[in-house]
Amino acid sequence: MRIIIIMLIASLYLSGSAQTIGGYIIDKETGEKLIGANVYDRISKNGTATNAYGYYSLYIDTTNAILQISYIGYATEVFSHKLTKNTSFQLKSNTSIQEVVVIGKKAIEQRNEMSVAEIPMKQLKTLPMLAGEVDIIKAMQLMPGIRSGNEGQSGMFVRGGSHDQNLMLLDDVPLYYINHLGGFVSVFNPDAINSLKMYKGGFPARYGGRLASIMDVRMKDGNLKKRQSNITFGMISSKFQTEGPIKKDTASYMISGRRFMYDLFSRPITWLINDKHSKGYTFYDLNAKFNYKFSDKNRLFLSLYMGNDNILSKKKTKENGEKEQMSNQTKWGNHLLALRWNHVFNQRFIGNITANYTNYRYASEFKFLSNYENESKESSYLFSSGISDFCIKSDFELFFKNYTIRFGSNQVFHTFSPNRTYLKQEGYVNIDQNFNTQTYQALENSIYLENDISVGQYLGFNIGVRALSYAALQKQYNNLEPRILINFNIPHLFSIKASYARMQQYVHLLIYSGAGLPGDLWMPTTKEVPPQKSELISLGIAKSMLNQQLELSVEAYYKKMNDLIDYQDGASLSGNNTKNWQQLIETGGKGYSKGIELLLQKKQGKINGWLAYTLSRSTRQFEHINKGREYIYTYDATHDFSITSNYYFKDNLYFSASWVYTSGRAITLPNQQYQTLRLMPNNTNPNEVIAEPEFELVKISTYNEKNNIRMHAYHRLDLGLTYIKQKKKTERIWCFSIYNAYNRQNAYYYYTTSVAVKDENGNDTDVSEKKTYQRSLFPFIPSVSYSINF
Amino acid sequence: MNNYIFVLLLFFVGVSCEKETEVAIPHSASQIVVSSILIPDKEIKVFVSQSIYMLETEQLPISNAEVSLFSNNQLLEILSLDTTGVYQSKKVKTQSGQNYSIKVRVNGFDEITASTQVPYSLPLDSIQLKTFIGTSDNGISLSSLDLFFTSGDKQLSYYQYNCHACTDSINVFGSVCVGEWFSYDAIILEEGDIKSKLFTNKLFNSTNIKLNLNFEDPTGFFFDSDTANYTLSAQIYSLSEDLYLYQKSLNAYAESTDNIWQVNNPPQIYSNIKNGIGIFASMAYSNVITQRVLDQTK
Repeated sequence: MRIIIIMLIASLYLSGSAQTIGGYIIDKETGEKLIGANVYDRISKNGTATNAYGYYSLYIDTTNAILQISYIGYATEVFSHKLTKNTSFQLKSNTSIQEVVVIGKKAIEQRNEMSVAEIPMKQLKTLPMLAGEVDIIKAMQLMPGIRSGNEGQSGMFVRGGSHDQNLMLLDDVPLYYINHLGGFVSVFNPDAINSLKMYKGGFPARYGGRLASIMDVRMKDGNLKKRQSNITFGMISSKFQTEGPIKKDTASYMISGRRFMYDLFSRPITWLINDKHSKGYTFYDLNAKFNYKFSDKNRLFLSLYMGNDNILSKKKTKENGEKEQMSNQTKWGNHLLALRWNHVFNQRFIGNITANYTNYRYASEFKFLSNYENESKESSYLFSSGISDFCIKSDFELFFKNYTIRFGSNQVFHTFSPNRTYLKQEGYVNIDQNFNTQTYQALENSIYLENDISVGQYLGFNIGVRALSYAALQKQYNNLEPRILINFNIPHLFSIKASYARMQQYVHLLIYSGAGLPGDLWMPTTKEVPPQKSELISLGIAKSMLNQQLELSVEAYYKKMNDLIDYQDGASLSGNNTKNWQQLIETGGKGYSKGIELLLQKKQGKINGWLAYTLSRSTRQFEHINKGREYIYTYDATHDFSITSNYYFKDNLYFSASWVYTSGRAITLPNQQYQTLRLMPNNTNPNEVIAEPEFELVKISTYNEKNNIRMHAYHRLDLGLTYIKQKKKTERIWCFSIYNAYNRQNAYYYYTTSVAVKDENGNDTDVSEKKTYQRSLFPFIPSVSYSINF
Repeated sequence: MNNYIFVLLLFFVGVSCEKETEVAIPHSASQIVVSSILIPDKEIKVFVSQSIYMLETEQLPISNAEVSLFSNNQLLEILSLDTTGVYQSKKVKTQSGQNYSIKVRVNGFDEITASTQVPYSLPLDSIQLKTFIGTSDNGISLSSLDLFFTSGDKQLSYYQYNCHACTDSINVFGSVCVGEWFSYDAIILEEGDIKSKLFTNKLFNSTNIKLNLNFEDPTGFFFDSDTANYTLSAQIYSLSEDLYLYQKSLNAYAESTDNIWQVNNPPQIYSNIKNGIGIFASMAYSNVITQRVLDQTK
């Protein structure tokens, strides 16, 4: 700490005679902030990059500077005139990313960060689509250290962590459930997204709350210059987006929505063929953002997200004058609202204060209405669960020469509602009441201090600490999370980076049935269930090549996790037994994860893409699971390889392909069977005989080791072709894609069953044998989507 | 939730495909399986068999085992194999309160041992029936039954209730019986499932126990509930701790095989057999109340 203070004072002293300029880097056509744009002064040879809000602050030696500003997908601009202190710049977008731009000096070797997965949105939108949808979660799964769950899941498993250990931030606000359609697509509508960045390690102190990863997704602010809209018709969903100025260069809006169309066909068809019994499923997302610039120093941003999945079944009958109507509806989704005030105190000091609300709710409702001779009776049953957070967050950044201090706080008021059951019944017994209602409240506070220091061109640090307190159910936890990252740049060779991060997680996910289904319940840390903890050490090298066109990073990591939870053997959240959830789980689990990751990434050019490989091993250990022995984690992947590439034939015609290969998931299949006695329920008629206990022999399947089998390796090739046609006032985009191009049957699950042995003629005999079968979900799926931009 | 899974499954199954696959299910050493549940005043029967590889189909009992029965370390009897493949005592009958242990020797396997203490039976003091307390999801009238009994001591004891109700046989269809019972009683909810028949006395400060159960009135299915009667039997089994844990794991196992979607860690069946698997445990049930209950609303 003393060193930091001395460096801070020294920096202040040194900056006394210096000039510091600051401002935003903005898209010339839309006014959108560019996050991660490079700003480089050719005279002083100092460089920096814009932060998560598109703001930069740069020290220059004199009042003159030649600033080179670059960003992927944008034409590099050089500004060489006298600068004022508050200087914002505008960059012009290229239509494609095939044109190579000269990148400023802030190369990967000089960034005080590691274990970051980042895909420029322009590159992401060129990836092969899944039934006409680009999915940012699926794209992230192509990065090293991030593996997908089962086929058809959006679940992400980062460096051996479980999928609840990922913090998904949309405009700084957590989203608790990110899947639509059972994980086929995620809730992030790429049309509404400005940038995404994921930290797998080397976590800066400004982030916390989960063990495995932080994904920071930023919505577009809205076009400040002119109105722009687009409509897309796809095979999964249809979308619209519109953005534009409310007052030019002062206020803007962005509204984006999409809807799954399946139910528009399924409901009338099932109504007709099932005798007035309709069934359907749909989902929708609505993203909206408004921003208002009060002055050069004050801006206000309002972000809104609403998303829901809905399964609906309705049936009507009419017989002998009696009418009945039955409906069954299951819906789940997130709501998010954030209000952010951005204030520029001066060119070296900016702050953001955000008040936000996020809510995830799952509800299942059954209603029955009957009407006979003008007398109506109603029965209804509602089960709901969810979690909601109110949060006040503040973040400040103070820029000095080669030194940035970030500090802030976060106060979160969690409300966990795992079970609310409402029953209304009119008939023999009239009931109208709530029961089994459970609500837990918790207060989570954190403050952080982060120091990003560069000592000359060759040494950099990101040192910080996060202090946490958590109180719930008459129990309080206080913890400190130290974070350190060291970056040593060996000139003309590569940089060596090392980091240490301690993380804590105060919310636990009770998985209903397999990762990522909507009935999963978020539960609080309690006296009996302490917070999950992890310690992560990473060591790597990074190098940029070919004038920064290519970036190579190789990292090794070791992670130890403590106080993990899992279900006891055989336990599950069946029915509404959430009240006793703490008795269903094993606590005090340990997890170990280690691996080596390689990423070779080319973010622009006629051919661009990346190659990723991970060699890893992840295990778990609980006192009462697997007889206390360490076992392979189910989402462990020994080998995880992906190659993703785009090729531009022309500006308006490009081809994309991605191929993934992942070692099979570890699962438990019984390997032995035996017969044993079971005490049977008494089924004798008490009219006839006095019952005595009875026993039967039952067949039991058992296993020697948890996760004793590896499923077959998962691999898949996706292809895409995009054609853009410019019209006078509009732009038309055709996207053709093939998911699973060579129709690989990747296993969803295995099961073993007895089948009759066939005779020579192919007929069944009396002899049976046991065979193992696999079920696969998604075969070769071609798709097309059509968009109009106007 | 099930609805959700069903619709998703329909969606997935629509595009999914199935094929036979080669999976290298690991082999592990076969184990001796011993199953025996002792009941007071009954002969002792021990099933001895062997676990087999998952993909094999034929399971043969073991006929060359030597099964020795002990009580307080004294050899009582070497059990003899009967024609049904069961090792059975000829001299000894189980007694409440006694400790029993067995040793099983099979060529090629380590010696297997297990022991149990036989619990005492507990009398049911009384039962109390209330009819028409509500309506079930099936639209059948619900009845409620309170069981009153006295736990043997304040130590942790283990129980299972066993109730059955059947209407009088009044026509060619015979009786209607109800075997599905459920309870929102705290001692059952403690087990995590309203249909669990297992429970303990740990929530009680005294030895007096009242257990509340619900069931669909059997007269509600076919008969005029205002006039029909039914007979009801209620039993309380006292279980040894091992039997309680074993039955509990069997319930979890049955639940998990019924629904593959709901279990994350497949259950392992509890065993108290050293160097083998299975169960050697005991229970007592001597008190049975069977009474004819007239409809109290008439």
